[in-house]
Amino acid sequence: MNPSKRHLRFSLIFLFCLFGLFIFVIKLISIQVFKSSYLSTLAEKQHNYFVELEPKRGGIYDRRLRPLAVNVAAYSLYAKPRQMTATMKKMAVEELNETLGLDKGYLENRFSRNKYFVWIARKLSFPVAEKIKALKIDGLDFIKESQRYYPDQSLAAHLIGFAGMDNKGLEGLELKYDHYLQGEYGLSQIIRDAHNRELLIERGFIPPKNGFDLVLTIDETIQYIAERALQEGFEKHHAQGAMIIVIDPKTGEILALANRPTFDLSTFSASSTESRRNRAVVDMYEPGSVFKIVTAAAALEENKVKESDPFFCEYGEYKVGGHILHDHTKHGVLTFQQVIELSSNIGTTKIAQFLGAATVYKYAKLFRFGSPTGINLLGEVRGVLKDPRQWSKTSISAVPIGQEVTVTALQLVCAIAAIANDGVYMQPLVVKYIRDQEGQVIKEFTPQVLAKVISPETAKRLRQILKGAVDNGTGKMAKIEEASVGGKTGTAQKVVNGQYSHDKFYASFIGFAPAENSKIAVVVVVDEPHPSYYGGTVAAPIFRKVTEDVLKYLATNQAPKNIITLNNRSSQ
Amino acid sequence: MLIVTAVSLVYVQLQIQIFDFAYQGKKREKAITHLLDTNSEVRSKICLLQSANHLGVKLLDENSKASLKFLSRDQIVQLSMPMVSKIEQASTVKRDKNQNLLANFFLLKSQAEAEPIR
Repeated sequence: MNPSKRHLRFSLIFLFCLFGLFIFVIKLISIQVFKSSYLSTLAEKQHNYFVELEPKRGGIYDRRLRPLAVNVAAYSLYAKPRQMTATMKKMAVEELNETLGLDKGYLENRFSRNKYFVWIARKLSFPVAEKIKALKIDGLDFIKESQRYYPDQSLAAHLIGFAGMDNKGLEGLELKYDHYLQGEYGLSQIIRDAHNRELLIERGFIPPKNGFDLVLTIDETIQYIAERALQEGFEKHHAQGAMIIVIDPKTGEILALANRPTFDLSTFSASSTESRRNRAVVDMYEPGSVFKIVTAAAALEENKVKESDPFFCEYGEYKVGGHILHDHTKHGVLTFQQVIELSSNIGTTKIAQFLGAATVYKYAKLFRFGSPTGINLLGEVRGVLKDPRQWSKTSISAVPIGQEVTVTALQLVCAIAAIANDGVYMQPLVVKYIRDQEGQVIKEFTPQVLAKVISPETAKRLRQILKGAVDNGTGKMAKIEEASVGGKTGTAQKVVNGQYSHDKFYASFIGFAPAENSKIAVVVVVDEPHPSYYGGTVAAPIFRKVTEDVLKYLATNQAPKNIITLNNRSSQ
Repeated sequence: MLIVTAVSLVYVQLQIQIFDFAYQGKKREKAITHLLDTNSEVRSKICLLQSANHLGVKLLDENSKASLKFLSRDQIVQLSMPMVSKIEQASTVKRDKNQNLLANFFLLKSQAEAEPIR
């Protein structure tokens, strides 16, 4: 080969290499300089993984810190259809249909989607998730979430309410105190490798702030006692609905609140809106004879009558404003005490006529009828109490016996509790305090006096009259052996299409026990009981059952009377 | 140049070890998570079993076999240990402590106690 040719070949090869090098340099400059930020962002995205850290939703506890609503781990199943072969998809459909009972059509539809992420089932329990994991199907994975768990199922369902799929409160206290319960999300930056495997290297970490716990005034055992008796009465009397509230008259703390029909908190989505209504707070009705406590309180407080003052009860028929008023039983002359004990409509009307409309209205207002009690629950209604200027000619024979006035069960129990508490009306409470996860109290709801309705002396006299109503009057079925009981029965006609119905009633009983130094006040209301419909025969036995057990239960918290020392077997 | 190469190799080796530990840590974390999940499941079952609703149906319902009732205060008896035996108990504990004095001397910490996970 001649030298010039060899030189040319060498030059060509050299130029080719130089060109190659030049291309590499250009590419390198392009990567390092021009595409630098784009590529580093891409790498960041691939390796860094941000995980939102779910806070622990605060629990709801009863007054003795027994759990009513807690959080448990739940496992949400998802699929990665893009990474799955047809055989894998077929296998997954078959297995999940068998394990989860999900429809094959639904599963096939989910797996046919050309996506990287498809939800299959949300919030599965731990054992179910374990079963699916054991199948070892590629392309299926879980995301750990938390789920609300209500160990008492339907107990206090209307009070507690429930939280939805995203752990946000939807009803009851779960909704009312959602901002305290939910907490704040945290963030964690995790590194993952080329195979998308997470490494235990955290680059950034903002811890989640867990929600606060809610401690209620409710006592789980008393709630159970109340619900058991209410359910029994509700079924026995084939009622449309029923409500019960047990309150501590000294503090206004609600110890139990229940409604029928009810629902299971763990399957709330399957329940009807009708069964989820907290009737005791949001439903108002004409109370009937239980409202006579207001007329009686007014008469005693104004010093207008004495227990022994006689009232002629017209033998069961009395004309007021063109309307004839009847008594259930015909009475002649009754004392003031007997008028209340035997629940005479005519006697009560005569007392009200003697007092005047303004006085009856004044005391009804003092007992906070027609006004919300201010309880920390959602949707409380105020009821209706008309100003005397709007009263008709017959109103003086209607309002004092609990007609032309509507109330809630909550207003009634607060009123009877005020009588049991020497005339002091306490603010009803369902939340005792809110605490953080360390147990530090964040917010406390202390008992508050709302009003002094009547004097302690009047309250004492009224308690004696109401004790008489149980011992000798219409409330005999509320009597218990262990303690004296005071109370008042009520049987109110329901208003249907603007007319008083003759076959639809509200049967109610309000009372307290023991009659002196009362531990509890209770209201029981049964909506449309059949065939019996009297407050004394329908609601009073429910009251008795609850009061009997609650007083025994409360006594177990005190030191027992009998102490036996084991060594010398002496008994005190 | 040799030093730079050596330092680079050490650096790479350390990085490999860090990632190796991270993989191992992740595996252990998985095992711990599984145990915590099992614990959470068991705790929720305990919650259910000790709930008033469950106990009430089991013990207090008229239809239940137990058919228990709430007792009045008169029907409840407290069994109390006599004062003498309490003093005896206290002295026994004290004696045991004295016997283990030598052993206690070499102990850095008190006996470990298991605590439930909150």
